[in-house]
Amino acid sequence: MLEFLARREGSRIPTLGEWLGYVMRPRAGRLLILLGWLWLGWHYFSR
Amino acid sequence: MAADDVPRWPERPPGRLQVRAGGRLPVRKIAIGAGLAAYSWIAASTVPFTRNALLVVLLPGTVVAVLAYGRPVRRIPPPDSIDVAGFSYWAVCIIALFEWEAAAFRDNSLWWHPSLTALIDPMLGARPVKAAGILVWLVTGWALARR
Repeated sequence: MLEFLARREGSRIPTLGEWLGYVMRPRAGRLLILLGWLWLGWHYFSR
Repeated sequence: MAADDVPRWPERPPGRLQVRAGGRLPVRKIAIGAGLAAYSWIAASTVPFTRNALLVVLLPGTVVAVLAYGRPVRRIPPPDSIDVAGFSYWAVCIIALFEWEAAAFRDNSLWWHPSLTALIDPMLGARPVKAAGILVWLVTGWALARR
């Protein structure tokens, strides 16, 4: 829903890709997000 | 959108999408997609809490880590700034999700307040659904490596 609202013309809400890209600009943010992705896979598919 | 001033691919001229010359099939992409689908199907057959189940998650994780840090792919340029007020909508949703999970975990996932895991685990019992989930997870990892 937020993604849909973010893609409207002139929306101030960033899309998921935009704010993820912003958070992943520093190395620490990139590591954090990728570790979160790995944890999700481990939690739902390995356990 | 909030980051309209940042071109997605700076080296490409703005305007119409460029069509591949000759109309050739993207063989490489089809092969990669088929490989991912096959891997997802095989990974969905692993039994939880086993070494193989752990390996099917660690292997793509290693590949994504290598792509993200060792052999960087062409990354999508991130925006220089984002609207804080706009991002607050996302922050509220994420915090609410974490709070729901924490409360459900603390209360041992009551029937009227189930955790996401309690909701999703029965669905992942079916192999096709689990394979689709793994495929989505793999594609998400690739997308994150490009950010």
